[in-house]
Amino acid sequence: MTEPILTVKHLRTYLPSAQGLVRAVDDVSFTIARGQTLALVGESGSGKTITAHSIAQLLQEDVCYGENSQILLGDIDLLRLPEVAMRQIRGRRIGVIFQEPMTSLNPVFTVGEQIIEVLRLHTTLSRRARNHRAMELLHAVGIADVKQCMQDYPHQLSGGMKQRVMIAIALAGEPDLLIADEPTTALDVTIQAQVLSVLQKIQQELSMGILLITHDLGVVAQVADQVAVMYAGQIIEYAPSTVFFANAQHPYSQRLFESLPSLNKRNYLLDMIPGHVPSLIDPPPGCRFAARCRYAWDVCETQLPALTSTGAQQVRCHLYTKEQPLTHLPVSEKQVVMEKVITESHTLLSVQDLTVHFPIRRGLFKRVVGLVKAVDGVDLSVQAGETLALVGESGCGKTTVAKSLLNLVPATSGKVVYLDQELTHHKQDLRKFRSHLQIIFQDPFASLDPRMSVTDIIAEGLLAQRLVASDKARLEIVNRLLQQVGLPLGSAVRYPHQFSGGQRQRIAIARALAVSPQMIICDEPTSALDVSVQAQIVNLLKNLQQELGLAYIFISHNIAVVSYLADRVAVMYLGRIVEEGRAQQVLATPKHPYTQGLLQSVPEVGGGHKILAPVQGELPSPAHPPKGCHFSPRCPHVMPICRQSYPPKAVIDGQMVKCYLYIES
Amino acid sequence: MMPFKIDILWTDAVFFVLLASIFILIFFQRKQMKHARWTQVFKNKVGMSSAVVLFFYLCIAFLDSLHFRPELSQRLPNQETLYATQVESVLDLILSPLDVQMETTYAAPFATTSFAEEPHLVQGQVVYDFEPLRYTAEHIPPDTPTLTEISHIMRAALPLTGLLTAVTLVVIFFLVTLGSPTRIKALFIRIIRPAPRGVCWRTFMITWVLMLFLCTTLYYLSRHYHIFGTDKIGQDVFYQAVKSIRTGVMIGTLTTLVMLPFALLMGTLAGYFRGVIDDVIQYTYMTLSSIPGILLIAASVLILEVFMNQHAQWFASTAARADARLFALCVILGLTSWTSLCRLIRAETLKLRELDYVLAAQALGVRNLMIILKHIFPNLLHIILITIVLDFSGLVLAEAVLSYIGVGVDPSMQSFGNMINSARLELAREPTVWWPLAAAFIFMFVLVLAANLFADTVRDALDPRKAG
Repeated sequence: MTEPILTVKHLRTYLPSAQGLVRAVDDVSFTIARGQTLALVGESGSGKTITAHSIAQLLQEDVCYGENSQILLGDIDLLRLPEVAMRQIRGRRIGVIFQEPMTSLNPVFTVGEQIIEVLRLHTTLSRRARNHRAMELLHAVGIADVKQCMQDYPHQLSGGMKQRVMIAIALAGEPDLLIADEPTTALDVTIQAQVLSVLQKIQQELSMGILLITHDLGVVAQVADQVAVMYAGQIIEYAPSTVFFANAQHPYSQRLFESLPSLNKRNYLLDMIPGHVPSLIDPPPGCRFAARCRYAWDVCETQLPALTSTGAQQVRCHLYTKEQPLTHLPVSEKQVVMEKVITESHTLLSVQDLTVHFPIRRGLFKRVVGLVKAVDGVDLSVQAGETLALVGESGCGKTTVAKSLLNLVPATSGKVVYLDQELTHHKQDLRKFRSHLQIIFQDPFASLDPRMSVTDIIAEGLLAQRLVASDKARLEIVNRLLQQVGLPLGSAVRYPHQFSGGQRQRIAIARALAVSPQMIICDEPTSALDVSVQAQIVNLLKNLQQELGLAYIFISHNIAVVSYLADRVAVMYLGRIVEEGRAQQVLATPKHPYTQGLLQSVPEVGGGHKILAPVQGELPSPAHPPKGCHFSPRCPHVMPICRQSYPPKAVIDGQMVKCYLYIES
Repeated sequence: MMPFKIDILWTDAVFFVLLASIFILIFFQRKQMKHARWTQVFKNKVGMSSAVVLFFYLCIAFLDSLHFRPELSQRLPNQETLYATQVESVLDLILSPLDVQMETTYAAPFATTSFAEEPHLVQGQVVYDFEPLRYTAEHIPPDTPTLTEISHIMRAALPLTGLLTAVTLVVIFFLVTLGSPTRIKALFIRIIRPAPRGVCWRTFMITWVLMLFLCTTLYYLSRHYHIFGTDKIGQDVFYQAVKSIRTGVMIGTLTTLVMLPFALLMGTLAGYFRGVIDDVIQYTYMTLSSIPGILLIAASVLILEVFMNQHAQWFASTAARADARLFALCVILGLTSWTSLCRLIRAETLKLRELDYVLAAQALGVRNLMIILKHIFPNLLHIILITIVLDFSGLVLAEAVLSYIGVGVDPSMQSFGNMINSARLELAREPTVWWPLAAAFIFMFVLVLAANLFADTVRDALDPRKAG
């Protein structure tokens, strides 16, 4: 192994808060060698971001570090460096990329100016050389039209482009260490794959060390050499990536893997980790995972296990501290086998040629100068009790489809037929159909009114639909719903801000269930949640479907969740459905080149370092869709005819696909 | 037959209705109030003490709004009772004879002699000398040092302070506990040992006693001295400042009352429904706000003045006339100043209507009116509150500016604006007469500060994310 560029020893970072000192990072040690990637994995609140910020010294001044804590960059101890000296290190020796590319760039300067500014601060290059170097950097991060990009302002760039620019800025000082804090979480899978391969390429060229912070085990499998799993401020498992994915040893790591949804777990409930992360203000004396661990015994409660080497990996668990024969362990409870039986199968909802166009207005009299064709001719049908997944990149119109089905966005043309009743053009009759169709939103923090109690939130639909006459009956229903979605009864009088993200999503589900719908549209209900919480919500959705025979339209870009939940999958690209069929079939043998690219972009936990074959380029603007097949500019199999006209439907083995590859001329 | 005739002026009527509706609201909602989030205000020390200070200001404004005309001693031959043309308030009655006791000209605070030397004829020769003041001379024994005398008076005020404290606290505690002995016991325990998240009864007690002490002391001192000196025509500045409180409170509250419905209605309608409604409302307030505000107000006030002069017979007394002008000024200020709040509310509503919880409500089939009432209004509340309080202080100041260009309240009416306006010349003369400005400043400062602090705690209390 080459010499380490970053050595963190016994890092303790305590943050003062109104309730007391938060032990956000508690005795964390690791090293990163040149050209190596260490992935710091953990759920939100595990302290991974605080660790990264401690290294870059980006925390508030009132933070306390442990006495014997050391962060050695080469042989400089960053914790003992004054801020003036630290400024020289940040940007020059440590580059940082943040999660949100939208807010990391200054909107009033061009991209070129922002890169040149960093170069001016950290290099001695001449003005002309700086300009040249900035273009080189942008080229290195895979931006095609470098000259144009230099002139652009951040708002003119897409999310993926912005993140590339952020990487270019972080690389400007040619750092030895790059800290990437969830660099691809806000991006689509296709763009994520592109950004990850750019990072890998640059790392090889410059032989930097990368500290990658992520909660996505797939991304870790793809790019990391070393993995450190954090839980409640401590590293609980530290191992080479291949070893970790082959044989995770800590019970927490094991259960994280078990809670990941996938195609072959379809008939089981996902494993859920009960309980929640302990308070970091007053952490338990023993193992911090003990309260949630299925193997825990009395020692775990009282004595904090040390990181112990077991061959190639280090584990913080009493199971591995002494000769503890693993056969004595209690066997994990059998997972419930669920066979999905759809008894009745009548068409619940059918959508014909739905279009939603948003006019672009300009000028004093607000003339219509163009149309954004967000949804451009979508046909769908949903059977009672089944789950239809709508998959696609952000901006492809899947959320607009959801909203126009519920008439939250008026449809421009087309028909939405629910049980033989036309919904799009009968505004007055619509209200009574509202109770049949419900929606769950992505962001659990925006979907609940912060000024209403949980009772009021859940009872809102009951009142609006005049379903229950008396207050008492209404309260009974609210309590029953709370129980159904797995929330404690005391929740009824509390307010949304007192709940965690997963609990809020449960409240949102209870609100939708209150009016006893037949069908729920789930708009990325788990994408804002941690893996273990995602498992809980996915399980809940699956259970509710079993109990109540609900039909779901499940909108997601998370292929793993889709493969676990969906019966049928429809792939959307730029306002149209390009492929549709049974879930197992579409996911196993994708026909459309876009679906193929999309599935290949998804990093897989079991996949190891696979060679990424991501979809090239980015989603074109729905205001100016490409001529012919919308996917033709990005398609690896493009033919002359693709650029001329949009391909018609073709049906192969029950799989609908719109591509000229499958049409015999 | 009562020896006076009650005279309810326009602003009095509106003010009483406002107070009464607040009272009724509290009375009928007292059960729900226990859990209402805004009661958190009283669990905050700053909130509690600023509320007490504001309450005292409101009390003074209330006392000054109880107007009447005293009976005259002369009678017509047909035995009909005659009432004075001069309208007085209960506050005047309490403070008398401050309103009629005039010096010849300026006198410094706590002075016993006139501020400037005045000419006398002594044995046929003009001698310049400091004259003893009429009012203080009546009450102060000559040749006592001022400080000793002040401390005497303050000590004399203590029994009254004690009495008032005892009486008011007994009444308040009875109202709070409704006479239940267990609750009284609990209350006293909480005063001695405040609960960490309970109502700040101790803070309430301290502020209450301090304010009562301040009021009685000032009252006793005003019996003997001109606390804040006198102005050019020899009128007591302390009396003027106390009387100005009502004008300030009236302009602050009534203008908001006029402005609020416009801003709220137009803002939410424009933001929620968009389209044509939005266009019409936007063009209206754009047009209105593109006319300079002062010009619009000045024009309206001047038209009003001409109108009032033409119908002089409508007003029974000068006070009624001045009051009608104050009322009209509030309406005019309200009608010209709703645009900025309306714009804020529209923008916030535009943001709120796109939020998922509003979409969820639409998906549940909740009617638009209910969505506005249940989701939009409560989430606008903090903006409204902050704007109201910022406007409150702004309006008190606007009144000063308007008085300066002669379109404010009636010159015969005491107001902070009129006081500040006349201080312009007094500051320019040598030696400087600083006390009218200082008095106006202190009274206004305390009022605006208390209102700001109060609004701050109300906003925090209404924010459920901070409630914990």
